[in-house]
Amino acid sequence: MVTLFLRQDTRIGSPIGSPSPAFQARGIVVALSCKTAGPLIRGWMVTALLALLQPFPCAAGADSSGPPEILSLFPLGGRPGEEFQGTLRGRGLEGARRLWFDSGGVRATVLGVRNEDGPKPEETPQSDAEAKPVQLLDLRIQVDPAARPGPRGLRAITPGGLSHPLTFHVHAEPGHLESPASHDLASEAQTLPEWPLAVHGTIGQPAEVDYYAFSVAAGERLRFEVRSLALSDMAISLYQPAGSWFSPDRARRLAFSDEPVSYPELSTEPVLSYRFGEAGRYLVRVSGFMGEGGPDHPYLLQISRDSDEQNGKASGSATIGSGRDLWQERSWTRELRTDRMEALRARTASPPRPPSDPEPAGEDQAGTRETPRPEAIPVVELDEAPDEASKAVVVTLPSLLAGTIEHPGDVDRVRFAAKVGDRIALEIETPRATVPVFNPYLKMVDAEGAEVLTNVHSILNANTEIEKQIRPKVIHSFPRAGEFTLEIRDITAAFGGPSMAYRVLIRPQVPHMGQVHLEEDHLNLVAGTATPLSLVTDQEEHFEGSIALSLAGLPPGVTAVAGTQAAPDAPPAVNEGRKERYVSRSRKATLVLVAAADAPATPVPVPVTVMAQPVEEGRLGRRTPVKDLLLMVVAPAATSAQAAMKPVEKNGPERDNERVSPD
Amino acid sequence: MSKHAPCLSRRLIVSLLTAGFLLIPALPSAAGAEPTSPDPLSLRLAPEKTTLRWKGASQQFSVVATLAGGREKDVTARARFSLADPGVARLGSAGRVTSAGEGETTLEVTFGSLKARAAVVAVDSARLPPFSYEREIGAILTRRGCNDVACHAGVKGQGGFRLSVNAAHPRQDYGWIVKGGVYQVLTDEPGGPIVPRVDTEAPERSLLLRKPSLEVAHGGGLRLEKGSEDYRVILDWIGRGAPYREGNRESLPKVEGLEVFPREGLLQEGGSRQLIVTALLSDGAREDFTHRVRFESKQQEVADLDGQGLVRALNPGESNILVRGAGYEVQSRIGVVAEWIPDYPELPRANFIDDEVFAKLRKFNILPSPLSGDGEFLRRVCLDLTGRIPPAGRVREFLADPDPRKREKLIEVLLDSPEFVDYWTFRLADLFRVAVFPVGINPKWSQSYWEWIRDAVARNRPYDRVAEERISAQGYSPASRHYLPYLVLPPPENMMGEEVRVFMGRRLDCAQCHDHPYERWTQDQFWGMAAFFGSMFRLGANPESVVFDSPDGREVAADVPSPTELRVLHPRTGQEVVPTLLNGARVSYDGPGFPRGEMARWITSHPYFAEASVNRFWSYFFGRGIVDPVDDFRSNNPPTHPELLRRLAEDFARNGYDLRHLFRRIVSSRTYQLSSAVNPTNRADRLNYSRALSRPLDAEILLDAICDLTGVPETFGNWLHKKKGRGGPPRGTRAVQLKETDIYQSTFLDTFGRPNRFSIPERDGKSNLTQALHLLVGSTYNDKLWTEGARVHELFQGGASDAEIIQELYLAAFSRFPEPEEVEELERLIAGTASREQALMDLQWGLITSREFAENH
Repeated sequence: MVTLFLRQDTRIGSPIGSPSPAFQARGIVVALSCKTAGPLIRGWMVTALLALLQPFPCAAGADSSGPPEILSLFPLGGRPGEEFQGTLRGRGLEGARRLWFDSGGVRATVLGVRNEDGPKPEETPQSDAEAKPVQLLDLRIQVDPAARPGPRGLRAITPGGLSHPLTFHVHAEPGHLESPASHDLASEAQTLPEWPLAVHGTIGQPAEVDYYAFSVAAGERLRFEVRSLALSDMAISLYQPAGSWFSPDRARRLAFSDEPVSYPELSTEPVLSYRFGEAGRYLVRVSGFMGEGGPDHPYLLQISRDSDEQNGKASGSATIGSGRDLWQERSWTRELRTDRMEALRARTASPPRPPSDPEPAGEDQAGTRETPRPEAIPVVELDEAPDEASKAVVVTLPSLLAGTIEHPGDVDRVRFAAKVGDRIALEIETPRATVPVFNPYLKMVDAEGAEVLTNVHSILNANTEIEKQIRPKVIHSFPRAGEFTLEIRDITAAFGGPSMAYRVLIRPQVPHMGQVHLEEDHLNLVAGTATPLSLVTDQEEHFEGSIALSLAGLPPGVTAVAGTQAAPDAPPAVNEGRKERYVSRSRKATLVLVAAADAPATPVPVPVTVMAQPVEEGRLGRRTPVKDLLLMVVAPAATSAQAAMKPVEKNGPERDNERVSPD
Repeated sequence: MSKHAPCLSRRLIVSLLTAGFLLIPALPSAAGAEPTSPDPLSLRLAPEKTTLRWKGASQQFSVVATLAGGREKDVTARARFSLADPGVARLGSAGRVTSAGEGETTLEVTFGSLKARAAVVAVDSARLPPFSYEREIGAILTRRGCNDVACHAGVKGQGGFRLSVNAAHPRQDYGWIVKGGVYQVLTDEPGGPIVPRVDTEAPERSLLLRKPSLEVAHGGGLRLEKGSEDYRVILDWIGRGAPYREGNRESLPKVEGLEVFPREGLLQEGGSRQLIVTALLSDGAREDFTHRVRFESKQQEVADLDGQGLVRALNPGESNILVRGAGYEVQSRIGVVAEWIPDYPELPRANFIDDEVFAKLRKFNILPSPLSGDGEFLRRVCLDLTGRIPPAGRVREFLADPDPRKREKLIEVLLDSPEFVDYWTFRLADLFRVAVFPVGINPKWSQSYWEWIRDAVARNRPYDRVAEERISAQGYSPASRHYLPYLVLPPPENMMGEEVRVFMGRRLDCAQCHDHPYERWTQDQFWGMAAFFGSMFRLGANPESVVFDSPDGREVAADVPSPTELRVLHPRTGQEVVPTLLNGARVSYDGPGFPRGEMARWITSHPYFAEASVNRFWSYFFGRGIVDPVDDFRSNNPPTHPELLRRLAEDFARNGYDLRHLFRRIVSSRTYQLSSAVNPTNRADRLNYSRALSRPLDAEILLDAICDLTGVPETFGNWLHKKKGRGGPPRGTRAVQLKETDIYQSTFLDTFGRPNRFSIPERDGKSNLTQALHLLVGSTYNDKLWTEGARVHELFQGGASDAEIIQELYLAAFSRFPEPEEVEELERLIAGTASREQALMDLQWGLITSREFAENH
């Protein structure tokens, strides 16, 4: 295991989330000097001496076949106890051995691979990958009788490695396959035999829609949900095939759902609940957004009786598989709990609480004093608080404020005192409706009513336009003492209701290690090559320490060493406003994964965990898992590919670097 | 010959169908409509008294005879005038009297056996009046149209030369003339070069004379004939040094208003009437200004003027005559009636619409056309309520139905139909501007906005609620998407202008830069309203942008210096403007809601909202608004039927702003159900709803109708995001069902006037050459005929006879059976061609290219 320490990066504002162009090119690795972790190495980059290591060829592209790319799966799910044939559509599927599911209850056996016949529906290839032939992987899928309904991450394993995931849904309803006959007119609707039912279909062509007919009793409330792949954005419509004066085939639309929100954290899957006032035959239509369709647009239409607890439940695509962030700092939906202070302190390397701490540390079962007793943050319910500004609830820090914007224009207020130099953090959670539907707006004013702080971040962009973003976290240092009022409202003053609930944690700042960002959710390492892994660590609330990064669970023959990467030049915004209040500072790091030439290939993905450990003034904090990823070691490709895998010459990386430079 | 090329038979078919269109039976002449000329009962001279002050002062008189029934007739031109003392005044032509000496006399007028008198007083008859720029030069500029808003009184002036409307601000005008300079919109400071427009050394070289007399190029054309009296007056004035005033300033009173006589008048078709304009002076005196003002008829097909105030009645109807001068504007409402119809029939009425419309028709001696035939009504009401032509089977059924209440029943069926939802969603999507292009190519937003409209129509949501929701839209709500046509919010004044125009029918735009020239809207009012939109922000980046208003009207998180101030500043004063309603009420941010929401409620509860709404929707059924253009309510564009407008608005409001109720009310009226056939009394009428006016079908409706008739649906391409596997709308989608028309390729729709919705779409329905070419060789008109499964193919393959096919096509296209002579002629024509199939195709082509098909009548 290699531990990489990072030094304070004084630059802020570098974008995260997009891999360096250099890394997208063929493995460019810049060797760093390695240094044993000393007690106090703050301020210095400690590097691994890659120069001492055997030079390795780059990983990506070393295997000419490369990792598989999976495009779609049909059917998209199955019922517990069912066994059926399915087809995975993709590229680079030669030699596919198996499918890998991220949780239990589903197995798939590869029956064979074949090239897709017929004309390709795709447009002109946009990339080399798209120019590869499309293949079909025939599968036998078995869903365990005891499998719990829900999504599963599914990946293909080939000699080239592991694919990205698709979602397979285990559903409780009986399955039903769309028949191949055209049914894109109401008059051609395919009749569904019953419900509850899970219909497996495909919007096979652009502009295609699929009509299904079903019957219900009067007063029945049904729930319709469509699951589809990331490429698709489906919509559901309900119709009564009553005909019209103009046409007996005309159906009357009763309801429609196409989630209008296009927001990173929210699903675009439609869900529709409808109560049928009259018994009879009705139609449900599945369609793609803007007429999108093609072989990679399969869907799963679930029809079930709606229940009260389901009613109003938002459709969501569960986070599946690896790649999850195990800590979320700046998300609207992370849970703010009463032990938040302890959770934050656990991400520091601060010394133990001094004896003068009013809250004595607890003892664990073994009678030691290793772990302080969690400090429970008091919860202040604001729904019952008076609306008048003059009667704002007085709170002390920390406090967890819980309330609801009950009606349009509703404003909840608390008052608190602060001393000069006090540093506070405000964290906001939206447990039900969230941004952009509910946009919590926090404003802190002083005793004179002057604005001190908001959670709206303004910048002046390159087009000299003001851009404003609300942020789920904001920090502030008080330049003067006084009594302050915090106002909480929806920024629109036009909406309110029970779904617009919030939790706001107002607390002293805790300088701590924040979120660690990593683009990849899986890696395919070719034996005898090295692959850089780019990480960005957030330094929250003036955290001045270092963060030691490591990987746990590496398979045999794979090591990780520290590396560096060239930071891309990002044009700064014209004026980034008071960014330090709203956005954490961040540092970048690179771990280079090295697979020895004799590293044994892994038959299945190996779960690897990125670990992070805060370091402050020589003290090491708790080693914390921050992200999972799947890793596979694959053997070098066949002879033709090996020709392209010559060991990198000494000046190879630099030359490559020049070639792929953005300039 | 290509099967797609029109063949010889087409020309014959076209001529036949043209004749067929004219076969719609015409009304017989109104019985007993013989012109009558009853003797006048009394005679009146106007004004009854006048004072002629200064040398050369004159007064125009008007002689009015009152006839039986209370009607009045101007007999000025035929009356005989005489003055008791010619030493005081002398007679001019056509009732004009000019001062001749000091004293008082009597003017007597004789018409037949009737006489009338007026008192004439002449004072200061030997003195010329003190010179005043506004009185002499301003009046000429007004009369010559130089200070009209279309000319130098436009917002930006013309060619850097700016005059106030109707010389409303003579001192400023004088400055621009005598000092010169280039007008700049947002400042009173002149731009360079500052060169006087008069040359007192060589007056004839003055730009003020050379331009309007076309000695040098003038965009406004010839306005002042060289050598004319007005030219001479200006030339003399410049030669005297172009003073603002001369003589005793105190002795010249100011003009404080204008009066016009008559304020309302009724003329016989072909008759005339002299208008008299009187200036009200600051010393209480009155002065004849008839020859110092500018006249304009708002309905020139009804009445026109000779420039000296003589109105000529052309066709039955009403026209407002605008009189502008001395910075003021007054109107005279002139009605023109047809020949008296002594036995005017009692007309059946269905509701108050008929009461109002028929009362006016009676007043103007216009006979309405008879009730439309069932076929005519059926086609019209289907098109107007659903945008569809009725299927042939339904036409047969309806025509054969003996139920006397079948029209009422049909209306209910249509109001409840899914096609009604399609059509009115389309109509509102047009008005509310649902498009992809303007919203930064974000179809998710536009579709969400479209669905909001569709839901409102399907659920029949009260229109005031719809309007309020749109005006006050915030957050990520579908309605808020219309505030994000691009990635930034439009300027507050643009947003306000559109909402007021759509929901109040008023165009405040003129008041953006100056007080509205003709209306009471001031620049302060404009910016007061705009300020309601001034605290709007866009939160977040595309695509999750949220629209919100600052809770306290101040910039939220003003962390960075804003290049564009949040506050709305008055362009002239530079002061921050407080949100202020048109009624002057200020709205603060301290209230329970937010100012824009308050404004939305105010707009939708204001009487303007209901009247503007009913007027707009009325226009969809009659081809023109009661106020037209529908969103241009102003005092000089009055409603043709004010009481009807008031009652419709009241009925709309009383019934919860229910659009279906309004539509039911309209299409149930006999007025709506009148035939489009003309009679001698209403042939020229296009204003009084005396008959149905043929209207060209909008592009989308026409395309759908062609698809229905041919039996071949349209396939639309989607140019947006083809690479993402996106396609067009689902099979069978009709043009009116397209959510955003701009992303679906259609040469046909573009050719026939599909609006781009970048601004409030106004369809003019005018024909153009491209349309004509499209009729001949366009794919829509030709390919569909030959497509497998087309209607004629089916009929042909099914063994239908020529007569059966002709009948089926006529029913489907025109909602009527063909006339026997049409069938006979067409059968003969088909029999005479080598290819029966070709002939039938040509017949169908002839049908879809005919006026009878392409219009709603």
